[in-house]
Amino acid sequence: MTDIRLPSLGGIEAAAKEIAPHMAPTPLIRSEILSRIFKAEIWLKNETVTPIASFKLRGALASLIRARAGDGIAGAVTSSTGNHGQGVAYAGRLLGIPADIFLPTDANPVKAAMIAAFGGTLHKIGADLDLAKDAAKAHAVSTGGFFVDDGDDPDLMEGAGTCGLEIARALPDIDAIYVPLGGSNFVSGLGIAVKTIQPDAKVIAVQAKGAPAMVESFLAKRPVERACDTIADGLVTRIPPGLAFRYMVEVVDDAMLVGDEALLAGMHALMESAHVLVEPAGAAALAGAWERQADIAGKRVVLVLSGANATTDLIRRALAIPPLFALADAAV
Amino acid sequence: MSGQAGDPTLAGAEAALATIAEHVPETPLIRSEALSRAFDADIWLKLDCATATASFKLRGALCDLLRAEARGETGGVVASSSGNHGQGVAFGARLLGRNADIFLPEGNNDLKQGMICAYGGRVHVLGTDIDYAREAAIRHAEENGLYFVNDGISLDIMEGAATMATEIARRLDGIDYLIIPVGGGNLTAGCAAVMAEAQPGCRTIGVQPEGAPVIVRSFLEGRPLEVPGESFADGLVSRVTIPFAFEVFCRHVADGWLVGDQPIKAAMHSLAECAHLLAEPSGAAGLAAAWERHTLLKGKRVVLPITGGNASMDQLREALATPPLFTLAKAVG
Repeated sequence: MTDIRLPSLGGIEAAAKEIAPHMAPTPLIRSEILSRIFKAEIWLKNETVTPIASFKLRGALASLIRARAGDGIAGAVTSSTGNHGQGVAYAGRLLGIPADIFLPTDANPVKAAMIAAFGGTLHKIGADLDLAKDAAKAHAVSTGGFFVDDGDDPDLMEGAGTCGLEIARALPDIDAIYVPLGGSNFVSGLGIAVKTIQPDAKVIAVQAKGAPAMVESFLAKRPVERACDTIADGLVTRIPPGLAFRYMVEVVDDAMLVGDEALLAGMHALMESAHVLVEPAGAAALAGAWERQADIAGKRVVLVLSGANATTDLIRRALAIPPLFALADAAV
Repeated sequence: MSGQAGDPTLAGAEAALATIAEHVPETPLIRSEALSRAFDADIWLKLDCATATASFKLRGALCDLLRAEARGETGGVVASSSGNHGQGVAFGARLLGRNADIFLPEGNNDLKQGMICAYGGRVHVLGTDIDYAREAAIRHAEENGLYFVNDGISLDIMEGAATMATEIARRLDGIDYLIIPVGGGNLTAGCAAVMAEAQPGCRTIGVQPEGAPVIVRSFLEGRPLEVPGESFADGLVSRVTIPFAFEVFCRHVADGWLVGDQPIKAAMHSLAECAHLLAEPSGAAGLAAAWERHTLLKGKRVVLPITGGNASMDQLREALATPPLFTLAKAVG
């Protein structure tokens, strides 16, 4: 980790050019209803409408494009709860690189099925993501594959950062951006772009109460290990990754936790009031912002909707509880 | 299938795109791996559900309002709608600093009515169906000297709507089928006319519910009919054909398909499960009809516009209570 290249705005701009032939910018839309509810100007960065229904294609593409341009690679190997695995499998297929994806044994079946559909070879191994990661690294070493490291790869972080670049270039004078927090690669890459272009914009990371490792690490300013128990499989990290955590401390202004109930209620609210389907992790930004309504009033705020790989059972659960707020609350 | 004077053109739609681009960013066109596998075809989704008003309607409304403004029409505007066109007009009018009166039929979709109000539109609920609401809206505009945004007669609305086809044709070559849900036929007619120029090999298909079949049945019989309709897909219900839209539709659309409400619910379910999208019933109708003809589509490159996402939560619950067209496990297994 000592010789690692450090991510930068220039690198993120280069990554944006590299991935552009494979994915279009995602929509950034002002939500009239949410703006009324929050008495603020609420914009939604919709990362759900990509071929893999999450932001993860960005980093996977940047990492594999650059690895191929460097020494060339025989295959890609990674570990993932699902969305990162989909990103690597899909990027691999776009670039003609075979992909081996390691998942925890209890991984979300929808995400696992999609990885296979994108041409990835599935390996279900390990009780959690960090154990799956160990197995993936061992496999990469033994087969000579390229390990796509979600958390310690500057290329991947710069790819993820293209989301922040799109936001900061498209919308001036942003007061705050709320971003779902898993292993902090996304919020760190996004934060580098946003804080370089708009230093006054606050970046706020939101993680699940049941998986608080990154938030507690951020607040303690040192890596803290925590067990994970949440429905939001996209927000789960047990052990903070080195590079991503280092940047999180630098570019993130605040980090907070939200409960699973708030994530489900946020899914319901986004479906009803913004007409967007998200997975629990994809509702984290809204759920976090909802707890900070008083801070947000009158401000220009971007909520990042990071993904939509929800099972229909989860959608039903979200619809079975009251939404964070009802569409009717927006009436004049 | 050849064009006539007054038809929307590729050049007209390209000009419309330049007119609205500032306000309506290009919508995503994504290949769906799961649907491609389910169909054994190359299935692409055009996501007009991911716009500011969660439907394609902003395209036509804004094009019409902006071109009218350029002609000096700067006063209040009036429209009739089952909901999404009303949202497009209300949203577009506010963007341009103009008032909007929107006429909706009784029994309209609550969610859409709420959205129109949120966009600052003044809602009038009047008439037993969309065509009665339309007559009331035209009267209101005449009596008050307001500008009626005429969905079905206006070339500006049609070329605005057809910007969807322009975006699709620019991004993707060799399209075999473009399968579009039909309410009044405006979007389908405009897109068919544009595709006839941009990709003459593409067959544009219009889809209506079996319970509200007036445009498709009129097309198949070659004359305008009047057929009362009712459907779960509230955005696709018309009773009469509107002459201009119908004429262009007949000249350029390759075929008209009907589909039942059950498959439409099942298609909403499949889009949520397999494509991770919230579509409203109208937006899912194209997939529903396509699935009934999947042997025809095998091996073809097919674009399905998801025309809107304004589903009420009750509609979504009903869709999720209906078995999907196909499960994700079956599609990708």
